[in-house]
Amino acid sequence: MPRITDEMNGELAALLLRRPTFTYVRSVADGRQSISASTVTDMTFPTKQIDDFENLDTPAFNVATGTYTHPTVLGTQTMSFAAGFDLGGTNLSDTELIIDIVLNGTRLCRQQYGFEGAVITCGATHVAVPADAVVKARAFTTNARELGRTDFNTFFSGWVE
Amino acid sequence: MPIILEGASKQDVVDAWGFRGFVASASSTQAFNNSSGVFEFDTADVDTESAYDTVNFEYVVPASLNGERMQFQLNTRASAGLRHIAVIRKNQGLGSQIDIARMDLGDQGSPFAGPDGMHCFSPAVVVATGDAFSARWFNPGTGNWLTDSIHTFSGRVL
Repeated sequence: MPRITDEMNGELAALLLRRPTFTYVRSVADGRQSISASTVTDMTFPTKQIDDFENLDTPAFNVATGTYTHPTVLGTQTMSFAAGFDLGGTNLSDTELIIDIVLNGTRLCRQQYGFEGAVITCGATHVAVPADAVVKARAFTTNARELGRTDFNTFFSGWVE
Repeated sequence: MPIILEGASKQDVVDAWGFRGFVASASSTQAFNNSSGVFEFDTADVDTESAYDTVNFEYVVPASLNGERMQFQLNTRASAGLRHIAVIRKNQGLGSQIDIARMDLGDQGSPFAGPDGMHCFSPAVVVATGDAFSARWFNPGTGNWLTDSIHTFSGRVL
């Protein structure tokens, strides 16, 4: 649940009470993202679907890095995150795909599967997110691949509970 | 207790503090046989808007939720051989049906010897009146089935 403090103004309180949300995707127009063999790659999601955090003094989501930085002004909040990656038919028969969501470098969730054409999703709920925390989605494979095909299968979402 | 300040409507408060959405479950095991189809979640355990269709197994967005943001989850446990699960959106305005989330175990044959949990999370999406959300499975093999009674399909207003 949102936590409202005396110091917050009405506009900020209204934002929190709407459970502020972001969803960014890698659209078909954005193309796929290359990931190198045996290297952890931070995924980027260039296209906005929803972002209630962007009108704060400092927008929370950086599309260049695919990173959500929890706004200082919101203080600690309980949040959920979800992410999905789509290999779009790329043959994975010789490798595995691992996806994580991490908060300040600590893994919140992981999904790991191999074989062909994988689409996998990963989610974490009831996460205490302190001010200025950095949350991102990342991928790993044992052989170089490209991720991302459809708008909704390759995505990164987060929201205040 | 929270302090509610100016700028928040009564509806904002209701939305923020109360669960709105649904949780559906299946009352019986379902057999899959070299085909694909809808998960027959025929029981609405929670349904705050009375919007879950237990006959067609889909959540039909009511007018009261038009323009809201929702997130959907599908959790299941399958015998080896179930390849894909997905949350499907049938958008009334576009007349189209798309996956909004999918999990895929691969097409190379059964990679797992026994039942495995599969979880499918959708992004947060803005929903429109009449949109229908359902849970689907894709199974190219035969003799596969869901086991246990831990399967749920749920959605909530964010």
